[in-house]
Amino acid sequence: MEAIKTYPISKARDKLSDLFNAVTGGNQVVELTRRGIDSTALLVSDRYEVIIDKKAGYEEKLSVLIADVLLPNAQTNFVEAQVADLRSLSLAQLLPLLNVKKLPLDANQRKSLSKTVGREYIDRLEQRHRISASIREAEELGLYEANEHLANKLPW
Amino acid sequence: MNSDLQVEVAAIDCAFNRGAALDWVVSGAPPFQAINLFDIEQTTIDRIWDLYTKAYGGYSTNLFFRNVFSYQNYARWILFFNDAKNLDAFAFFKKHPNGIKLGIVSADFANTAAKSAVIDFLRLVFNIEGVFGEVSDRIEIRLKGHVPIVDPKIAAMILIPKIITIDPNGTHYSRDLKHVGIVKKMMVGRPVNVP
Repeated sequence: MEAIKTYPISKARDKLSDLFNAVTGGNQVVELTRRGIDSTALLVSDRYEVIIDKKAGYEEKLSVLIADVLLPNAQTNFVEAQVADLRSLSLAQLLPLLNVKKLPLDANQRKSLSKTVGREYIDRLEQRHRISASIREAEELGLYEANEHLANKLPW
Repeated sequence: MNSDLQVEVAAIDCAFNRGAALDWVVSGAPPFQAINLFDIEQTTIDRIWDLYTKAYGGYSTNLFFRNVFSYQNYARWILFFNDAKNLDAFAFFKKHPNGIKLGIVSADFANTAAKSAVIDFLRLVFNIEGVFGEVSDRIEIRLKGHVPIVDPKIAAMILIPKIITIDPNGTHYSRDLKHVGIVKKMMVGRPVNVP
């Protein structure tokens, strides 16, 4: 889940549709403030449900937390798939993943984690990171719309 | 399994049967095959990148996709192969709440059969319920008279939160694209889930 973005509620009113898209599509957390003192947060509903679910075990909550830390800028579908992957791991396998500070992994960390959770698992994690980072960058630079428009100008 | 890492790829001939049904573009049925982006043959990926960079090279390199991983945003790829089984064109579509929306397209522009394959494909596929796209310039000219035009008022709803200005001619609208500026577009095809 991406770092929290903060908006005064007066500005958020005009951008509510954009903020909704950022939360649901971009897996971001938006903090709304009032007079700079009171605050509340918008976050995707399944995250909220995990947080308030008193029956959810440590593994469940840890899976969500780790997925958000490993893929901080990823789109929701990548994070959800990563959470599903993490749910298949035991607590002993989950804990070493808390030490991952950034992706891609360095060679030693990859080797060590591959032993703990399996090489295929680490491959999928790094693939998600590469793809989601690339999509996010292209979105932020407006490359999709620009290229889709330029396609019309090619010598058809 | 791990569908977030997959794209659906359909390989068809440039000489595909123009009379055959293309409903599979919407349904995702064969010839589509779901495949992990990292498992696609390197020669195919290289050729797609080659067709993309050669075609778009005349425009600012600042607008280039940085790498092929960005293409994963386009969930459905149509790859056009010539008689020698070489990849000569592609059309990428993205999944959208209103159907399947045209993304980027390219071809070997020295090859008339490749260009025709893409244009003929678009002329046919935009008549299928659930397929739509925004066109302008040369593609608009090549599709004119072959595909339905979407009412710009409907287009405005489909494109929310993007803001468009509907043209007085009743068919076009203007949009402000990042790094490109204001462009005049027309939405064509048959989007679904519209009022």
